Amino acid sequence: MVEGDFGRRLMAVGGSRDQLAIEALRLAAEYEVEGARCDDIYSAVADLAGGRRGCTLVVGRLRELAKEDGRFFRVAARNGARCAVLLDRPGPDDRREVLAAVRARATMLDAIDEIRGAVEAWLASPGCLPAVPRLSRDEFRATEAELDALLGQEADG
Amino acid sequence: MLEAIEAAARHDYRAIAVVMASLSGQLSAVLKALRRCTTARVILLAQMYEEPIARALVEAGTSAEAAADEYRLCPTTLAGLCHDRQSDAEANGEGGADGTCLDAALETRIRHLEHLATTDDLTGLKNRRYLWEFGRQVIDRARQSGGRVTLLVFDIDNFKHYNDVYGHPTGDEILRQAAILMQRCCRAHDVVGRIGGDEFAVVFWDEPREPADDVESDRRSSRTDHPKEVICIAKRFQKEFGNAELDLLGPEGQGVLTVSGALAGFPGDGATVQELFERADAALLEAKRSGKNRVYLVGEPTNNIADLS
Repeated sequence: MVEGDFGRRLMAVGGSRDQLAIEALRLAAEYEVEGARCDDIYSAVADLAGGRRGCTLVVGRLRELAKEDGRFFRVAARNGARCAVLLDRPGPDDRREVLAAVRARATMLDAIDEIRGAVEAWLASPGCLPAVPRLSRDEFRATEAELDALLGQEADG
Repeated sequence: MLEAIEAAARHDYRAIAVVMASLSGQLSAVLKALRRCTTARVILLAQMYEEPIARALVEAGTSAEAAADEYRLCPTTLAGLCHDRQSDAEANGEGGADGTCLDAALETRIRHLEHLATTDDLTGLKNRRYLWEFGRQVIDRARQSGGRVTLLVFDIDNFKHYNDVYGHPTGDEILRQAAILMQRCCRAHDVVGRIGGDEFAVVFWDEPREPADDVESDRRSSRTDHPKEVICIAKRFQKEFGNAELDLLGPEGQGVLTVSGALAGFPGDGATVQELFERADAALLEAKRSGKNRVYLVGEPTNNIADLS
């Protein structure tokens, strides 16, 4: 078990009955880090920007976190937060949302039980960066191609 | 909007104006977020058709999770808003930046005049001018979004008789009761107005909602093209008005009041408020000729809503 870190904060974005949010808050308690829940990305931004600057991991579902053309990821990064995104079986229609998450270097989760690994990796990291390093152009192209193959869609010309 | 919330959380703004039309289904979430991160006054900029929602959010009070401090009907200008805020600051003794702020008393008088210009004095309902402009806006909106608007026009059967027999104060009281009952029967976002004499109108419209309207067909009555809720409201109003107890009418006058009316819907029955009104008014006349105490549907083979399940 990773030792508690009072400088870190785990923020779940989702309703009070959302299993992902419930599991995230349970893990926050288990690892003795501060846990918080926001109903949606708007409250999450209010919390991130209004609260103390710190090391926050935001956990949420792709369809919520990627609303508003993925701007949430940029706001989160500006406020020193990292994101872990549950993909929820994305289809070709979700391509833009997935790309926004990829660009933000969010951790992708295929299932709720993968949160534990994401939380442990976040806790084991040396500290939170003020901003997530940007992907290189080549890295991004490779990722986009992989994503298109995964979603069964041609990449944009 | 996310960047705006971020800025609101970081800076000490005195007031934040929120354009309601740009938020659609996210309004409640955005207001909650603003409440969470700022103490600035939240001013909603509303179109006329958004006024019932804006008013409800303001009346919810600051203790509510999603609430606003005030609303302004569009069109308004940034300069006007700045002036108002400066006026508030002056009233609070904070002083204006350039000393040219609008006098608070003048602002109050302007708002009072706005109220007079849009309200029916006797019943407190909206007047014809407001109703027509409101109808124009919701029809424009429905034209773009594929929504529906229904106009109900109704009047009180034999109203002249009550006026002549019981006197004008009783006639006025009947009108006020009709207004109260109709407002009670309607949904919060529908707009009830008195368009003259004993004639009233209601604009029913689809409130902004998430785009999940594959249930739309279920919301319509199986035998007409009008929404079920509207027909239910009209039926309920007819029933409640018939049961209304008015002391001024004496014991023999209880339970005898009836109304006749007509429903016309956009886009089927007309493309403008005036067209809907003309068609509904003609159907209302037909309802009167056919014996009164009935509400007709414009252009429907089974004309009386009482015949609908």
